[in-house]
Formats: sequence, C-alpha cells, structure tokens
Amino acid sequence: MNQSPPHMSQPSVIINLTLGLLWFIVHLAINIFSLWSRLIYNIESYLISIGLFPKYRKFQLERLKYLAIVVDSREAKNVAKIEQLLCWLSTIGVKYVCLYDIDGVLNKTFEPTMNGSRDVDSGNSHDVGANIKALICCRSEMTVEYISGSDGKEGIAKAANLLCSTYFNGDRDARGNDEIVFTEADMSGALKAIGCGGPEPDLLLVYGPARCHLGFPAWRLRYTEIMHMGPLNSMKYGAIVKAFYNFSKKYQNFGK
Amino acid sequence: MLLSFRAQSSKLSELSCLLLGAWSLWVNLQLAIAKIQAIRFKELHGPAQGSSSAPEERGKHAAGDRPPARLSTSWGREAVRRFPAAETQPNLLHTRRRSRRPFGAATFFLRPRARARRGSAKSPAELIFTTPLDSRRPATQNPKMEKPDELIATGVLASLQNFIRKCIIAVISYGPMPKHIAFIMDGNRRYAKFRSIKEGSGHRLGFSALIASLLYCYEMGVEYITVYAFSIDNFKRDPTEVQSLMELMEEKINELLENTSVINKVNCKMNFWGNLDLLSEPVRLAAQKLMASTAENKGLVLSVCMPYNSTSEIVNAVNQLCAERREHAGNCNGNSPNNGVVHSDVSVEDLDRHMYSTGCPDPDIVIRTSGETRLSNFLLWQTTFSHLQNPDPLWPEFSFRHLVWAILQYQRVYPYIEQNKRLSKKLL
Repeated sequence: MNQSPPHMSQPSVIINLTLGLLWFIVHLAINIFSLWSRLIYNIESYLISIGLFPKYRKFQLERLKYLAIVVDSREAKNVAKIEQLLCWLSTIGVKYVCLYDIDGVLNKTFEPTMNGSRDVDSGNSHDVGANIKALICCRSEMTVEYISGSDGKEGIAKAANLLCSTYFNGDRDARGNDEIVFTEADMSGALKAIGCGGPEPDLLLVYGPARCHLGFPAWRLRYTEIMHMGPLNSMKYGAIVKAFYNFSKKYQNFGK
Repeated sequence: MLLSFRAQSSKLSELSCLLLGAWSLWVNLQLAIAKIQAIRFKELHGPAQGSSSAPEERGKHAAGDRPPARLSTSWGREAVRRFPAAETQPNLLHTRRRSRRPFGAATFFLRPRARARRGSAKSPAELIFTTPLDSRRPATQNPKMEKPDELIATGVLASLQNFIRKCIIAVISYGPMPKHIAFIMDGNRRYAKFRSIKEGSGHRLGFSALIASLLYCYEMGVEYITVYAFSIDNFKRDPTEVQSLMELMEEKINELLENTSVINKVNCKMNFWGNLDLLSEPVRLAAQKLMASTAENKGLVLSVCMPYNSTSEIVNAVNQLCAERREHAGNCNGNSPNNGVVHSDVSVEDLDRHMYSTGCPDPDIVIRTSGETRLSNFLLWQTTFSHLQNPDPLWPEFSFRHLVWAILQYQRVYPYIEQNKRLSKKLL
C-alpha cells in the first residue's frame, strides 16, 4: 500500500527523462549559439581596437560625463585587470569613473592606496565620500570613486534614519502641521550628508556573467543606460569603444 | 518489471521523432493560419486591396525591409476578441520591424526568412500575402460556404497550436522557472508611428499584448507579474496624450470589472502600485474598486505600476516609517510623542515593509522591450539580483516566443544569480 505500483510511475519517469533530454538539447543549442556570438563579438572588438571601422574612431564623448562600472566581487579580486580597465578608460578620455562591487572588495583592495592621495577637489562638488582618488595614469587625469553594497540599500536606510531623527529631534512647530512629508529633494540632501550622494552615472557597464546591477545605489541609477560587457577576465578594449559608440547614439526623452 | 534499455531508447527516439514532426507541422500550420487570416482581412477590407491594406503600406513593404508575415498567437487573438477596441486594427498579422539583434540563428528556420531581403527575391510567405488572391479564387465560389470550413479549420489549428505551446512549456519548465517577472512596456507609440496608425491604437494593442502575456505567464506557472504602465515623469507629456492615456486606463479597468473572464481564469489579484492621488478621480476610483474586488483572489498577482517612480516609492516608505514610529512613540508616551523615546536605527527591513511591493518577492527577470537599456526609475530597490533583459521587439510585438527566450536566458544565468543571493544573505 505504501509503494505505488511500478508500472504506474514508469510513464512519468520516461516523460520526465524525455523532457530533461529536450531541455538539455535546447540549452546546448543556445550555448553553442552564444559561443558563436561571443566569437563574432571578439573578432569585432579586435577589428575595432585596430581602428578598422571609421565610425568607432570618430564618435563624441561629450554626453558621457560620469561612467559607472559594476564588477562581480569574485572577479574584482583581479587587481591587474581593474588597473588595465582604468587605464583604457583614461586613454579613451573618461573623466569620472565609479567602480562598484557588492561585497566591497574594491574598497578593501584600493583603500590603502587612497589614504596617501586624497585629492578630493573634483569630488567636493558632488559631495561624495572620501573613497575617491584622482588617478593619474596613461597621461590623463581621471577621478575614480569606489563604492560597495553598503552604499546601496544600507546608504538609503542611513539617510532615512537621518531624516527620521531630524524630524523627531527638530522643531515640529516650524513644520506647521503634524504630517510627515519628506520629498525626493530631502532624501537627496540626506544622502549627500552621509556621503552617499555621488553623481548619477550616464552609463553603467556590467562586468560579470549576467546583466544585473547587483545593488548599485538606487538613487543614482534612475536614468542610467546599463550595458552588459561579459566577464572581466575576457574584457576587450574594442568592446568598450563599441559600448561608448552605442551610448552616443542613444536618445532619452525622460518620460516625455 | 523494468523495461529493457533498448525498449526505453526506442521509446525515447519515437517520442523525439514525434516532437520533431509536430514542430514541422506547427510551422506549416502557422503559414496556413496566416493565409486564412489574410483571406479574412481581405473580406473585411474589400477585394481591391492586398493583405497589406493601404497602398502606402504596400509601398513601405517594397521600400523598407519589413517582412509582413508574422502570425499572432492564439492568446493574442483571444485578447483582442475579449477586449475589442474600435481603433484596433483588425489586422492580426504582426508585421515586424527589422531587429538589430537577431533572435537567434537557431530560430531562422522557425519563421520565413523575410528579414534578409534587399532585392526583389521574395519568400513563399511574402508571395502568399502580396499576390492578389482573387485571381486564384474561382469567381463562382460562394463566400458564405467558406466560413464554416474556415471556422473548423481555425478551431483545429488553434487546438493544435495550444498543444504545441503546452509541449514547449513542459520542456522549459524542466529547468528553474521565474516566480516574478517585471515588464517595462516600452514602444507603444513607436509601434503606432511605425505602422502609421493612430497613437492611441498603439497603447490599445499594448494592452492586448499585456493580457496575452498575462495568460502565457499563468500557463507557465509564473506567480507574480509587475508592469510599468505609467511613470510620474510621463505627466510631462502633452496634456492631450496624458488625458487619452487616463481615459484608456479607465476604460480598460472598467472592462476588467465588467468582463471578469480573464481575471477569473487566472484567479488574478490586482494591485496598483504608485501614488494614486496623482490620478484623476474616475481612474483612481476604478483602480481602487478593482483592487477591492480581486483582493481575495489567490492566483496570479498582477501589479500595475501607475503612476510610479522608484524614488517616489522609497520616499513614501520613509514617510510611512516615520509616521509609524511617531504613532508608536505616541502610544508609548501618551500625549508627548517626542519625549525621550529612543528609536532603533532604520534598517533595510524596516523600509522593505513599507514599500509598495511588500509581500511580493523581488523580480527574477525585468524585461524592457524596444531594446532600451535603462530602467527609467522602475523597481530600483527590488532589482538587486534581477536579470535585466532588453529584447528588441516593441511591446505590442512581444509574444510567446519572446517570453520563452527570456526564460531560457534566465535559466542560463540562474546558478550565478542564486549563488550571489546566498552569499549576500550570508553577509547579512
């Protein structure tokens, strides 16, 4: 009574095996296709990097004022790749880069080098925290900001805490009524006060296996173009140029 | 008694041959359905025109690389039947704009190769649709006699289509399926402009696509769907456009209230996320009525974000949290809520409780149609580990196969996303 008759479960076992086999075949086909796409992408990136396509040599970067890069935390431990990426970006002419990884690996890796070079002149206008440095490499100056997951949701929670404590400790009569109405401007001010108020990036490049922003600070991600670049270990200079070119062709109407 | 290995493998090979045969039959059936729809469209619009109704459209077909023959799916037809709109074109043929990124080499043989044409060479599907059909039909044929045959043929084809769709869903359901999918329904106005139809028709077709996607997701076992219907930034648009959108929303909400077949079919619970005070009163009342009437439903949860901004949601959560703490402090201290009450620091969980999405899991996939790569202030708090996808088709063109492709892409990255979720939970 406790065991189902074997001849009743066999069709379902066979059907399950069949479905599994078909599912495996479908994903195998998709993986083969994605390998093929990756090969074409690598060839295209190489051709772009040697300057074969004129349109990629002449695009305008004026619209790209702030660039953000999200890196998978495991790949962020590869310091050489990060340095090479920053060098490429500096060569292209990017002026402000915000590097993010959810676990704070970049903060820990680059924090010792930041203590000796806190040039925050360009950062003060944006009221960012102290985790930026002016990077002088590859013959041009670039500001680099390092943030982590604690600047994302937790940063917003800290700003909310500041607003609430300001409300409870402040003069309620000045408000005129009992209703609590914080606005987005109040929230922006609170984020700046706690050091999480960096500029909103125009473009976000995601280096990792999947196109996820992994908790990048929500307040800075509203209208950012997000592009997936693949794993950091297989990053290509031509791919960055292509991403910038595609960004230069984008048009935003901001809801209109 | 167990079957022998040879018997099992022969059964497997028989099943795979059957599925391959069914798939090739499905392709041929799609072409046949398109032909029948072209005949029906011709009857509605007169024999002088071809299946591309207006001369300017025919010119566009000749000038541009626009392949005509993409067929609607059965839920798409059902959605249009249940929610007829006067301005909706009776054209159930989806015409597709040229895609920047191909759907995939693997799918070239699933549809006519109409994309790659530059010259005069035409695919069989294009020949079917652009050749005047009157010249091939006998003059004495009675149009009325065709209709019962057409209906029978269409019914059989629809049943077969449903069967094939169920087979495809059974295959992809073997892998991990998303519980919550969010859609940014982008591209309605561009679709209307592209097809040279009234702008309002683009939004109406978008609504039909939404109902069709809802039903497909229900079949696939997706439990939560969130759609970005209207942003607070959209109020900056032309007032006449905003007014027409509000009227469309009110009309569709009232239709859902009167015609509850779709809601009952999926036992749908409707939510409206956003600052409803910004809506006009008729729309707000209709939305509240629909939420109240579906509050007890236990099936698929459809959350419509209108008018919504993620930053506005966060600020609203902060306001509610402060109000809650003030009330709690007032209860503790009687008449002086501000006296000496020490509140714990605001945590992420405190804010989570006051978000519109409380009770819903975070989205597994966020799909923005029309190929745009930004989130436009949509679910920024909830999409930490969501797979962001931006397929090229415009929202009215989004159909079953795009949904299947989206889920297959999600299944490929599922191990990475789950690993990241586990690691972040460990750190907390």
